[in-house]
Amino acid sequence: MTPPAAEAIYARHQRDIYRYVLRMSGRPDVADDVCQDVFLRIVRALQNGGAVGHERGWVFAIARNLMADRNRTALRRAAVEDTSAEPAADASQALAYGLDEALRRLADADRDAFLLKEIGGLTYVEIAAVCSCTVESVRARLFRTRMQLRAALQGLR
Amino acid sequence: MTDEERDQLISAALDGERVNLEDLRAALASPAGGATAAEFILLRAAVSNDRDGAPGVVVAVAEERQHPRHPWRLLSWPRVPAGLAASLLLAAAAASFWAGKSWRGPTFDSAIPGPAVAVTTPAPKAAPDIGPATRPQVGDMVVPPTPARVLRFTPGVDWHEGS
Repeated sequence: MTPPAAEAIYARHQRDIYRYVLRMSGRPDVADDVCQDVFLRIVRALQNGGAVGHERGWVFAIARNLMADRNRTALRRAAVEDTSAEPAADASQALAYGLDEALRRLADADRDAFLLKEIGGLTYVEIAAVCSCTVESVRARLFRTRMQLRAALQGLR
Repeated sequence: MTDEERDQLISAALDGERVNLEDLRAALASPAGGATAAEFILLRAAVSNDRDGAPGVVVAVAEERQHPRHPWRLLSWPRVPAGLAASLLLAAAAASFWAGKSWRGPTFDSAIPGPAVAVTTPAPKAAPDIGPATRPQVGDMVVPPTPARVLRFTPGVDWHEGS
């Protein structure tokens, strides 16, 4: 039987976890799988009496660890091959497609920090804890990523 | 403040981090700083635009995956027919082995008398008496009999005609 708290925690973050994993992997099926695994991890952690500190950071850390278990390089390569021929119907789609492409070209660590911030809404301190790096490193990654994405998207607007 | 420091300050401020307000005011007052802030806000909006695209992941599906080995799952298709077939095959093999091991061939009832058959075999021949000597001596040799008729070969004479 699922603890009610697990369902509540999952329901609060499910949508953003899905978006985070989808952006990281580029594959909806992987996002589905990881989301379900995140739910299972939450259930098991609560059943084992694990302490939940900052809930959102904890859930995103679970998702991030699950993603790390997969071969992200292979996943991303496959995703790029799958979507490279998709045409953009209008400017909005062109921007979305360009953003996807720009995100895929980022280094994993930079994309990770950026998505944890933009989708997860984590603070610099929380991102540093999840990524096992310093706050200054997070600040630098986010700034670098924004500048790269800005440059990549300037031609699309 | 360099351009990079200015943009980094704007980036941190947009992330809700603690920054120096005077520095932020100065950064945003410059045309380049304002453009940077606008670009960063647009970027954030672009990333957030897929918010409605996330499908709902059914909790029940995940819950089912948590317990993948429910007892009744063993009775699901195609496990039942496969299990029955394997059981029948095993039982047939065991029965065949037991039958082959315990069968001793056809048995006869000893109470029923069989047919009486008289078999006469010839008496064995006596071995020839070769005497006590095992090696014949010259003096013991038998004299050959005298011939009753002597035919002589004469060249040029057909001996068949006279006979």
